Amino acid sequence: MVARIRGAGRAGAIRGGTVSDVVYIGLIIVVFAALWLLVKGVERFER
Amino acid sequence: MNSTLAGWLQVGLLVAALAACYIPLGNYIAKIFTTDKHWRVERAIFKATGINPDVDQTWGQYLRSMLAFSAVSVLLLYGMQRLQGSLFGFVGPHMAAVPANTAFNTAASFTTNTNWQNYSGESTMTYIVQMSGLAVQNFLSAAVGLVVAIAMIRGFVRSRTGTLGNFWGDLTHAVVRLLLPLSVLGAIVLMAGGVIDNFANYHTLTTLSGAHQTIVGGPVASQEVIKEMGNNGGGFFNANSAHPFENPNPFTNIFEIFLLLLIPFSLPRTFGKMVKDNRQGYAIVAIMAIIWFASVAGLSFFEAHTGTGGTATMLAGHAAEGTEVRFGTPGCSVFAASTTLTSTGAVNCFHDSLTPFGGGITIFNMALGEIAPGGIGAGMYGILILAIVTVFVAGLMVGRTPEYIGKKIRPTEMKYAALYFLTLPVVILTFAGLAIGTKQGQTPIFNPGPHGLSEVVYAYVSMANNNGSAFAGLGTAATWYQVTGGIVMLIGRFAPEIFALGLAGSLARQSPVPASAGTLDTRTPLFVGMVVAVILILVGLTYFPALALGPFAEGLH
Repeated sequence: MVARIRGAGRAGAIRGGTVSDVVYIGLIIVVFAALWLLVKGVERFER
Repeated sequence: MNSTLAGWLQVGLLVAALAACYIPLGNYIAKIFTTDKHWRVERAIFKATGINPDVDQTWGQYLRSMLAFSAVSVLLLYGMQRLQGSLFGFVGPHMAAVPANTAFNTAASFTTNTNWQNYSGESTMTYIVQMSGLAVQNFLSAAVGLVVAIAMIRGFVRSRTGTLGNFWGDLTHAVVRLLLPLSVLGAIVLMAGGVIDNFANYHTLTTLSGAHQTIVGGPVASQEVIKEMGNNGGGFFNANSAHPFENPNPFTNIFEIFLLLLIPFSLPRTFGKMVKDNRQGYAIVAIMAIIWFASVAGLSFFEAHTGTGGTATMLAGHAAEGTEVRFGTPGCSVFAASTTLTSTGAVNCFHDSLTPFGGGITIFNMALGEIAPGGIGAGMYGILILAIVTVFVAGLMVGRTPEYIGKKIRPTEMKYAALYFLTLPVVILTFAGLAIGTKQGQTPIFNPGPHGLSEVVYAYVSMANNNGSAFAGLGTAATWYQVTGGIVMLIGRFAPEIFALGLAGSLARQSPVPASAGTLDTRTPLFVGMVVAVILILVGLTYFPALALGPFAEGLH
């Protein structure tokens, strides 16, 4: 019983950590994608 | 010897050492980026990575290479921190995985040359992550800033071409020929001065009173040198350069200040050499030196004179709180002015404990865009853009043709310069306003009133300008500051570089304009004074409300 609860806690923590990782990696990609689009926008403005 | 005299002797020694290095180092950096020969180790790197460093890139290609490189760097550093508990803990003390929000903030921080830290290095990061993650980024992020400045200078040098060089070739040259050799020399000097460098595990000792104390270790000197010279600022230990293992004595203190000013103050010579007019370099270095000297004098004055410092300061006779006794108030003032005028952010005293006006000067220094002498490379391209703005303003005032270094300053160039200048205030003031206006941003403010506002403004000015120092009274470990801080650091670093390189590309496409009777001479003391005035007016007007409600209100209370 105790072992199952401990195991469930660890699994929850791992799942929470994975969700956080997905969120932050996604955020990094979004910021760089926005910067990439800004470059494209500036190049278009030049033309 | 009284401490004021010691402080001014320290400034004199610094100026002499920097002046001695100005020509040789500036010439050497110019040579690195103008030669078409590659060292054997560089050829090996190019061969292994499949890079052809001799293919010139347009400003857009140069920028995309830089963005791609930085994006991969952020992701790798994030991954290293998250996996350190299982993969990167085999040397030194074992550490658990860095929490996700701290890992995001730190990855953005070290890749953008900010080195904002809301963790204690000695209790959060393993030796491997510090060495192969954070320290590697100390080299690479510094090199990225430097090569953007070199590309900007090439915009003035080149004509009728859209190309600015090769990002990968420039990056490799910057690391292999400049940063690595100087770091080896600097680390040896620091170790000789008493900075530790080992792989020892931490030792827990029992003191005479029966308490337990942990004596830390680590490869400190090898990281300390690039932390200062690369204008990074991220300390191996939480106390940064106030820690006796990072900065044990007055000699290492002045050497660290010298290191953080060395390359930024030499780059104007590189500029003069590359545009084949050394007097242009002297004009730029004079602008930088005037602002640096004024800042050092102002900070030293407010820290040494007690009128605005509160009761404790008056009783002590100087602003002693938060000051490391090994260095005294002058050692703190020179370090604080230099670290906030470059993008370093290392500290040897607590900036939160500076007098209100002293703290205000550090905020103003960073708000200048860190151009005097500025971050490695970032200061150079920042001041060149402000010189362009000055030429344009002067042209409007006296009816002269706006030209700079043989290039016309047309509406296109001015749009780039305006966008460059406006980006940071918009980012800083928007996020500071959001922090003040939301519960998530307000809760971690530990000090009420004007000082609390100063702390929030300081945090966003520091992060957006990629400085990394902090007023310690703000709970920056809160998720709000971790997440918004990471975003601010990324935008604050790369968005201005987009406009700087766009401007460089526009200049490179132009034909050179021969100087005429109507050309403003940009090598004279008059131009130097005009640039200083334009910088102070632009930044002063932009940040005056925030400074008035924060440090000024606190100081005049």
